[in-house]
Amino acid sequence: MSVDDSRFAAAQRTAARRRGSKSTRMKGWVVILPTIVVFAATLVGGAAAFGKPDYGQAAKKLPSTGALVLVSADAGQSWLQRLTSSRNELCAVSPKQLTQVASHYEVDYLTVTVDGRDVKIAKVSGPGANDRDMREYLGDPKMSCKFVREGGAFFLPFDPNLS
Amino acid sequence: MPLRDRVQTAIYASLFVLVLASAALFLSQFAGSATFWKHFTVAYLFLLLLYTIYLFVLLFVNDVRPDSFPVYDGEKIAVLIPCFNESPELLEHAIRTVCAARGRKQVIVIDDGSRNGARGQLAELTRQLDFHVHYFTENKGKREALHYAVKHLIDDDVEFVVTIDSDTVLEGDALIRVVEPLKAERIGAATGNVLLLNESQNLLTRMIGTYYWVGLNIYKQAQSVIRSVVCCSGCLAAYRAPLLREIIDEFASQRFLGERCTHSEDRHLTNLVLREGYDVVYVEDAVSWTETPATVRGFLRQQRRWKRGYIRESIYTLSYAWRTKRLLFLQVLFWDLSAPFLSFGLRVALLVTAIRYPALVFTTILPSWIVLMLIRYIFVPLRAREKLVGLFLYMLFYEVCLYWLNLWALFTVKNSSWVTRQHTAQA
Repeated sequence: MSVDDSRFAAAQRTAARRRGSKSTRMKGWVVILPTIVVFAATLVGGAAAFGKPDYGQAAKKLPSTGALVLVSADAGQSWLQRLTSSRNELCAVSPKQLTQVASHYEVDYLTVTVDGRDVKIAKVSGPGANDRDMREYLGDPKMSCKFVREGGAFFLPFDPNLS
Repeated sequence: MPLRDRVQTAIYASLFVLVLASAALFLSQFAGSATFWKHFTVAYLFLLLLYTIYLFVLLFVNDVRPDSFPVYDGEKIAVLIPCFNESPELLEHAIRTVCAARGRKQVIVIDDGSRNGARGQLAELTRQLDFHVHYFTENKGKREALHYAVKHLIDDDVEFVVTIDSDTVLEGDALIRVVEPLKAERIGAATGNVLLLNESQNLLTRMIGTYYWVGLNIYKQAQSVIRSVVCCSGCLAAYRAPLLREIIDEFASQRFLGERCTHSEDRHLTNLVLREGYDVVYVEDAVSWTETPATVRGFLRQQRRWKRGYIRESIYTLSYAWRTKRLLFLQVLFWDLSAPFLSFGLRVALLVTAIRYPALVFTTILPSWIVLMLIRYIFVPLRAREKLVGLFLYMLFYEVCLYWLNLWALFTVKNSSWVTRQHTAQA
């Protein structure tokens, strides 16, 4: 139908009520109410998980060398690199290297569950607790490291402004 | 500077602060602690949830207790049709449908200095149809056209004034439906439903059709429940004549940040009605039809103007609504006006995430976006299934393009050019 035809057709119309009957509309709420609950749960769940690091994913990607250390990924990174990559890295080291690290840096231990088994991670802090300095200190330039992704809250759909 | 102007200037400045604060919070996570960013993110989520529930509650109330208004009983209606360089065919259609519409009426066309030969067409039409034309020798703008008509052209016994755009086609009983709410004592203005004549023309017009549907059937419907519709659309709006006579001078002389305002006159007129303490409602059964731009360029041009008006008039709303429309005040303050600017950092964060983990876009972001969108706009699949494709397109278009126009509009809000009118004139 051309626009001119539809103009003519529109002008001929007289108010057939467009909204459905009250009962039809109320039935819709049987679907709408549970969905709003799901929506609320998703947002609250997203908020609860926000910012929590996912060590398990990083640990799974690393070779099994006996120990894991968590270090900062910041050193030597440009502002842009920092913007586009994670702030922490999980690195695979041998037990002997872990002893070396523990004697030189401040170390706390945390336990995470990976594929149903508990894995102990050494969280390294203090000056030089980053992957570049640690590789240098351990004399192991090939040490495997993976970025630790942090849980993000998911917002979309943002509310579009329908002005 | 009058107090209202000072308040508006302060609110306008605070919008820039919101954008900067949102950006600063985003950057703060790279400068040491991410604590502030996390708190901000969670607070935004909470606001989003609260607003969504608020919206759904209003729509539920509307379904449980739909509005009913007194029946039209022959009151006199003045119908004002300002026009400027309108296509003669469209103008003729508009006038013919108004003249044919039910209701006791005085139809007035105000030709705002058209230079496209509309004058001859109008003169010819006056011989066939019962309406009055007033010609401006030069283009003075839509506000001045409405002002002149209200001051000098409408009859003294007119009770309601209806304004329509010069490219709008009215359904037969649109006039009487849109004025019926005005018979209730507290209602000062009402607006009608707008459908698109060219919705099936292409993907863009389908998308815009959904934009109209959501805007009217979700947002305007919800606003109508609290009797605070913020915009009586230029396509079809009705006002109490005595009220309009009171506010029309102020309407015509509006200034924002010292500049004379031209566009978004429909929003401002509605604001003035609300400021006077009257209610404003939406009437789904009062139907008008119009055409939408069928090109991205044309649509963006229109949106640029509308978004500037949105910011300016939302600021105006905040300057009075605490006294007359408290719920509207809270809604505009905490969501309508602030959310687009607060979410700046969050949108940048989303972009960064997409760059950081491109696979996430397809495995997580897009699927969850679709699911959440369907939930948030559940009314579309339930009540207008044919508009689902348009919904996806609109949401995508909004995130990629229209959202960023809000920021552009913030910086150019003083710009008073009426882009589509200029374009028509050039054409």
